[in-house]
Amino acid sequence: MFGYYLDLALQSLGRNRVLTALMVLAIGLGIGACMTTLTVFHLLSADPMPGRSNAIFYPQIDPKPPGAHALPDQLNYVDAMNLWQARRADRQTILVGSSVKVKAAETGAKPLGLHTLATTADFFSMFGVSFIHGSSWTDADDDGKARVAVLSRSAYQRLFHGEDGIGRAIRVGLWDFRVIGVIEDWRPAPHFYDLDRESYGQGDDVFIPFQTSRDLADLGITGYSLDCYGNTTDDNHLENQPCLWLKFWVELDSPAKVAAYRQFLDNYSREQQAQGRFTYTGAPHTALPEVMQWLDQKGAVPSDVRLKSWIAFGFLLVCLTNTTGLLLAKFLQRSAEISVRRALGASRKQVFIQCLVEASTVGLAGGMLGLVMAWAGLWGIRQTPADYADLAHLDLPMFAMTFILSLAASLIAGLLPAWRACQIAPALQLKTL
Amino acid sequence: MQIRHVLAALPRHKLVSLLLVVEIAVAFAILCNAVFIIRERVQRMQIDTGIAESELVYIHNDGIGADDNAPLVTRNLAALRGLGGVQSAVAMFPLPLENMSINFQPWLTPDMKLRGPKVGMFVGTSGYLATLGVKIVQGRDFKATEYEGMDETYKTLSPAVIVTRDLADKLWPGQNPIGRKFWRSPSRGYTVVGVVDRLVRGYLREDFVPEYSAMFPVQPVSFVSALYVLRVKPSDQDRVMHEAASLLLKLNPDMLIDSQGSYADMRSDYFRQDASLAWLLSLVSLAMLLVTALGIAGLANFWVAQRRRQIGIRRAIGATRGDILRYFQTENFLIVSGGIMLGILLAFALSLLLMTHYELPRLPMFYLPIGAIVLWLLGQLAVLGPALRASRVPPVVATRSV
Repeated sequence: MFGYYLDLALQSLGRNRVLTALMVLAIGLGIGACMTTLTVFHLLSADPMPGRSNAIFYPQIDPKPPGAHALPDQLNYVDAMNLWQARRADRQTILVGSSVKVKAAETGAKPLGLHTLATTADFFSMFGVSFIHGSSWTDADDDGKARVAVLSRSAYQRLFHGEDGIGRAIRVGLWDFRVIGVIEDWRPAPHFYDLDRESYGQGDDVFIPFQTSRDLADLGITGYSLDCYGNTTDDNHLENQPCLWLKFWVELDSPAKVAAYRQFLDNYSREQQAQGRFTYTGAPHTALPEVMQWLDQKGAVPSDVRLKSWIAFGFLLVCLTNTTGLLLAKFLQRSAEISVRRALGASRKQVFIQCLVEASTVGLAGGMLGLVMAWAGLWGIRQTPADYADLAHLDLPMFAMTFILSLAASLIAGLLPAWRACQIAPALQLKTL
Repeated sequence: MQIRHVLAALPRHKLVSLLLVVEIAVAFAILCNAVFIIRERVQRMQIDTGIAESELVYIHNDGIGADDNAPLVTRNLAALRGLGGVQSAVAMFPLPLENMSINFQPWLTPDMKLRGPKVGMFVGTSGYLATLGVKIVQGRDFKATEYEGMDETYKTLSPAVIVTRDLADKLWPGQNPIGRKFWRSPSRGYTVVGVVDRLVRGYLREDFVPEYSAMFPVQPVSFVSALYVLRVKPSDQDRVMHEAASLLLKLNPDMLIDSQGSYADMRSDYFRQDASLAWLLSLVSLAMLLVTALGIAGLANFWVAQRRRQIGIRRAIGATRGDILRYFQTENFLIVSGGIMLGILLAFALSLLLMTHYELPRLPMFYLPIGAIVLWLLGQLAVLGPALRASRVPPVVATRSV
């Protein structure tokens, strides 16, 4: 029966090619616009660490003097060190990044400007970063301010041109560091652990121990966003300055530990209040969002991207009402034919299904066109200078989504016309013939 | 007369007409808001930075590291000035819309009680205001002796400062700003020596006023060594950029040039997201107009085909071709008008939604009549073909069975 309906649908669509083309074009344009913007949205709002993100948390505390302000997004040196040294979480890491000049240590090598992250040993195990050569540094290296570095695969390639670089020296700023490990390129999208540089840009390339970066303060690794809330006396040695510049992440793998850590943060804040370091009074200002909550809180997905998706959906709605109108007119024009079929014994349900088959044929053709449009749209986005431009590709789920969306859209568009068509009374129409 | 006929006939295809009304309403609502957003963004992109944009070229590099290397900056600047076509060369921080800025809140009294708004900080070497081309409207430019060093917190040692007119009006409304003082810390007071017409900060934020800028003089120090700005005629810019980069790399083999280009490039890069949104909205608006027009034409075609017999009868009993043409035009006008009326409600609902989620101002009223005229014209244009075809239906059709 379905084959017969399909045959009828194709015949009917072929009878009025211009109109069919119009409906396919409308659905195709609508789906194309929707899928282009949705793919970008899907890409930008994805979980940067699937399977792990719900055990990773971002502690926030408030060292600022009283006054109306939001809970700070970063920590100062004293609080970050206190929390890190307390070691109350399964893993904990301090991090801060900057762009630094790096080159292979031998003379004549060309310097590169690389995103450098000063962090602590737990960074790699906590975020599940995989090593392809060597390994991370240890807690002892952190404490001992060791001049060791871990490189990303692409930075390793650019610095050593395929030669074995483990154990060799690179010059970071003016100082030599020994390469002890190479990680697989890691570009979480968004760059959740430090949202203060472009959120969807390339991953970090050079990793060095945090304490070493403080030892060599002239490296200038003070982050991409320095927020000072009091009078400063030195903007390079930030250890005792009232400045927020450090990110701190913890791993807590059970609800009990999360609750205990919240308690710990509150107790810590109360302690600091009692000592007079925190000058506000009343309940402690703390929070412990997990990765996705943190991204939401910081509005990591640019609001323009969201706006574009909404506009595209509005456009699809216009395209759908357009198609509905055309299908309706089309089915009603065929009233005579439908009433003959009804008189010959076709049930309302059969007429209904026949009409929906015709609508979904249009939908599938529109989906095909939409796919081409989305592909073209994403190609267009890749040509723009946006930091996420090179990520804009149609992946398998979005590919499937295109067809589901176009089929659903055309079925919704076909519902009203099909319902109206199956209401046609057989006898009345036959009389007019 | 015509309207009565049309109104009498409309209920016979009310479902299709209703769908058309809804389509036009949604299209109208989106169109009005989209054009409004496009206008907002384009206005933002047209901000006047206050500098001689077309004559500036920049070279961004990794800087000289420690202040001991300051002579390198002096040498580099001298070498850059020696290039043909370079009218002047300075080292500074930052350029307007560089996507980077340092802000401070000046204290208006030395006891640190009264605080002004957030102000964007500019520092640069000798002659940088002239190189940028900002206009001094009151007081004077920095004297050669005022270009001094910086302390550990990157505050200039010289007490001289030049502010924008907007900032002067904000800090000392109705008073002569020349000779006024503000403090950045208890020991760092600054005296206004001049006022410039306008200078927009390095990075725009909704909660900061773009024109609140303060300019400080500095010697060639590490802090400003990452950005060289050259004043070059537009016709010389490509050549000078090329020559300047190779000259700097020859003098400083270890230098890392991150980016260089004309100021226009930097500016368009700053606004790339706004440009991308404006482009997308324009494309979608055009596509929507196209789809709506094609939909109207498609349905009109149907109706003409469906009513051939009635048209023939009307023609046979005396209606002119013009009557038939106007009939379809009137019908379209009524349907589009219905769509616009519903669309006005939707447009305001959408505007309200955008206001709460995207901090947009309310949709101004004058967008509605303009949108209405556009859709009326579009409807008439789309219906013209089918209506003309209808008017050519011969009266003899009335005598034939379908």
